[in-house]
Amino acid sequence: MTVLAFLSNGTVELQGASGATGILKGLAAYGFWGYLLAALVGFALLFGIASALPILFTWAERRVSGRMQQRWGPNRVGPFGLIQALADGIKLMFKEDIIPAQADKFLFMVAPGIVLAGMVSAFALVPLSDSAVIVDTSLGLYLIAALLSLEVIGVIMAGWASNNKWSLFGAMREAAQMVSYEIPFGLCILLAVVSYGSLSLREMSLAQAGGFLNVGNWLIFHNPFFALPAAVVFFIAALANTKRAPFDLPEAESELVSGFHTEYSGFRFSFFFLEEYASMFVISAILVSMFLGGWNLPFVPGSAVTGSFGGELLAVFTMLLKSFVLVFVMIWIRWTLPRIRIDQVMSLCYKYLTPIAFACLIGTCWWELAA
Amino acid sequence: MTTGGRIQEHQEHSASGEREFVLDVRTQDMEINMGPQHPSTHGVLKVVIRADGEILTKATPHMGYIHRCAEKIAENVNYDQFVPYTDRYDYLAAMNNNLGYALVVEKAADLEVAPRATWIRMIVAELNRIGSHLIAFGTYGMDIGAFTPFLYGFREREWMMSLFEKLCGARLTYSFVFPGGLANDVPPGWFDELKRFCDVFEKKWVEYDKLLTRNKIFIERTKNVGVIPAGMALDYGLTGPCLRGSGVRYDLRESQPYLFYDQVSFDVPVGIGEMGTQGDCWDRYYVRMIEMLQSVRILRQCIERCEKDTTPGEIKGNRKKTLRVPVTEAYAGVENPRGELGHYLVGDGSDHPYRLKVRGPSFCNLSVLQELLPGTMIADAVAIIGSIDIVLGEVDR
Amino acid sequence: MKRDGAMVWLGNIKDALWSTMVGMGITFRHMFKKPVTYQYPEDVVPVATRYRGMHFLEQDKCIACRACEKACPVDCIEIRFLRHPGSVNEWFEFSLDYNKCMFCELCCSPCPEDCIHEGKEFGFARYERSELVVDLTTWKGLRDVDHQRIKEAEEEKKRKAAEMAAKKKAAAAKKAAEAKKTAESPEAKSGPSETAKPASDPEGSKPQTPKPKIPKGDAKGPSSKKTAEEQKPQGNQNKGKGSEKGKTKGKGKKRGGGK
Ligand code: SF4
Ligand code: SF4
Repeated sequence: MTVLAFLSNGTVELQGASGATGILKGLAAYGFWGYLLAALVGFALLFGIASALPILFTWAERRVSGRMQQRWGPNRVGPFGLIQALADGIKLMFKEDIIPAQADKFLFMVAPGIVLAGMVSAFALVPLSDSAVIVDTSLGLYLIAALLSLEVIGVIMAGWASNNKWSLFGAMREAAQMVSYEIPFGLCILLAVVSYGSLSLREMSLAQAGGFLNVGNWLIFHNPFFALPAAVVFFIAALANTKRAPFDLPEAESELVSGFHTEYSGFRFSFFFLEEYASMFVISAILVSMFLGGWNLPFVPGSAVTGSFGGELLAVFTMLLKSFVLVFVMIWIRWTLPRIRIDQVMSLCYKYLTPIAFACLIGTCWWELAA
Repeated sequence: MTTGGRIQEHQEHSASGEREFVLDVRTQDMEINMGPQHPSTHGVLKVVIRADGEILTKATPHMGYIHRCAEKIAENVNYDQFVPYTDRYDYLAAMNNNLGYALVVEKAADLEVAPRATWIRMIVAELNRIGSHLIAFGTYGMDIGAFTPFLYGFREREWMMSLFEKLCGARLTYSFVFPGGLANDVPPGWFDELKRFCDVFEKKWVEYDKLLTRNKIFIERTKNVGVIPAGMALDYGLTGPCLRGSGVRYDLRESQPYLFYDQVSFDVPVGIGEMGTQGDCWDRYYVRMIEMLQSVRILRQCIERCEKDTTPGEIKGNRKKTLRVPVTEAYAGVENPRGELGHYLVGDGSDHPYRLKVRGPSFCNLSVLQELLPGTMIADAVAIIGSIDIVLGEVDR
Repeated sequence: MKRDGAMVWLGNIKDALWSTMVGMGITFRHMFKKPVTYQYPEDVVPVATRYRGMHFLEQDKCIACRACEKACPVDCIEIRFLRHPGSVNEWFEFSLDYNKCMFCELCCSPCPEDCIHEGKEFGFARYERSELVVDLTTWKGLRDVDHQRIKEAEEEKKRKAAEMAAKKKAAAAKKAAEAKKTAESPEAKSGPSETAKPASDPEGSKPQTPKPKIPKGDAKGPSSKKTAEEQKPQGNQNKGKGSEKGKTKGKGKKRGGGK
């Protein structure tokens, strides 16, 4: 995105709504067609990123799981099997798209789109650096939380429309799980909002620059007694929100065959797949922006974005790196832990995460008052 | 505890003036076929479950999808020719099946087996028990949702299989223990490799223990789930780890020693409800885990005795080439990894059995499923089926 | 381990985090270990010397005694041959049906000549079931050596027959002379020899029925005397094999017809 911004603008705008947003806004000045073009360009961009990252992550997941299990993982297509996921994507595209005869056809076809749409839009709100942000609104976090929870509708639709009992189970589990985990998820977001006094992820990142060793202002270090547990709670809730193991109940392979996407095949199935990995990134990026210092490089004082091209690039790189580390942890957890049972999922949420998140929130309020 | 739509929407006053709760939302149990094509029914078991939300109200196991008439085949092939068929009832413990069958034929035909052959039989039986329990461990992890232990279990099992491959040439269906003896003697160097396997295996066992057995989620998923009280276990004729998991100390190797099991020392682990209730899934699982260690212990003793007491090559007993069993009846049970594998043989003087009845442990253990499943959750059902550790090849035979 | 109240709550958190960390430690350590799997088509898994894979037959040693065929529990070996004088076998088929074979090695141990073995070849994926019926023979019919041996054996037999005839003649002449000399009858001697002939005849006649099943056997035209000869040993085995053998024969015929 930054690159695109550079190419088209020649110079970098650094203040406020800038970068790619700037171009799009510029385009929009040309009336309806300009809007359309802007929308299409924006969509293409987003979709590109939203599907490129999952390709990387699927590769990483397979490779990492392979190595953890003393297997090789993908190693045939491309160096280290890097384009294996791409090859699989192409394969999925050419596979037959089976729609069960008894399925609710319209909902069945629409559901994967809804699931993916929410996730792709959420991408637009993730700031990778000061200027590399597609949409920077003052309601960023709020919007992201809303978009992320849009997914549950798609999943329920998919489960219901498949007309398969296992899918239905998956959908119900998803509904129960998502709705419950919105609470600790939201509480942790609130904690961040209380700390920064803003809902914009960009501003949160900016606020975390500097400090001791350039990490001192990171929320988890700035407010270690409350923000650190909150970050953990947020991470766990994020796992549940993205349906990652050990919270992969909606698609629990050994229980529900494949859960809500049992009946999906081909391209539509790949939508669910993309969504899962895309959401891993989005959620990691939010966590990084909120708690882990955003795009600020640790231990290198003064490396905060200075407005130079190099600085921007470094920021994007740092942000991606941090998110990838979190994605790796998600993968790592998946290949280590067994799955939780649905009632335990609930009790974990209501008995553990929600109280902890609450306590952290109150503590943070106090901390901020004291500070 | 029940979920579902039993919502007490509004209250009405009945004629007597008492309040009555009226169900306004009507719900219906959902009937689902779990299997035969289901990832965690361990083969082609089909359980027709009725579910009220996540809670099962009824479960009926159906089986017979891979019935292969093993007992009938036995009546039509001669005694040696039936050995490969015994491999195929519990294909994860083919050696133990071979052994059970060989023992009954030997009992009926009054054959003597060379001591070396007996020691080797014990070795292969215990080694196969480890292999079988490794699968039980791995697939159980998989049922609960942990993938990696499965691969780790297979890593060691692979070694076990290659040991067997060196011994008899096959990796799964060994056809190694024949009535009256063995197919081969051990190749040179085999015992040394086996000793190395034992050493490595014990280290890996600790890893399994840390990775899965002591994992909090795993414990939460398995403790207090699928509790089989000792009485119920006996009523249903459970054997093997399912019975011992309920605290009943019954192991054929100990209670009715065959081969030279009376000459080696080992412990019979029983479930004590370490994590929850006695006889829950965790207990059954843990009994298997401990049994693997005990098998290693037996293996070490057997190797030592075998190397010390016998000379290589002396595996021939007093068996004649064509085996005929007189008009007689015999029963022999062996402790398979899954429980007591019994063979009942009726001979008629010819070279093939008049009748051979197989008592498969998985089949009997499966019967308790109907009792255990109602009232549990779907995820628990998977955990329970996994903890009973059935092999459908043996259930259906 | 017994806790209560808030301690349970805290303890659960501690246990969960700790055990997760321990587990993650184990998986993380494994990431840096060497994979244990084989890259199949490139690295082939080494097989043990005793591996029981695809069979191979040392055909020149095989005496076509059908012991292997008889030992197989699933009847997947099919042997068709024609026995010529001098125990020369004219091979038509020694096929193994890998659709049925379960690699139990039961066919290998009873072989008197130790000529059928299970080899190291594995991987039997084929496109057709019929491709899994593998003929193990390295040659079919008769080799030059065999023709030679048959000829020799025939000559030998002729010679022997002639000798026998000569002997008989001499004996008969002797007997006649003796009979003339003494009135005692030599019936006691000739009796058994006459009874022996009919006894062997039914054995020989039994396989007369399956005889036409052996294809080309007659067409190749060993004299009728020869066929009778060559069927004899087979007939003996037939008896031993009983009904099982009959089954394989029947199948063989069908398949032969199909081709
Ligand atoms: S290996 Fe067994 S099944 Fe195969 S041909 Fe030989 S005896 Fe028959
Ligand atoms: S047992 Fe041996 S000699 Fe006899 S037919 Fe078979 S391969 Fe040939």
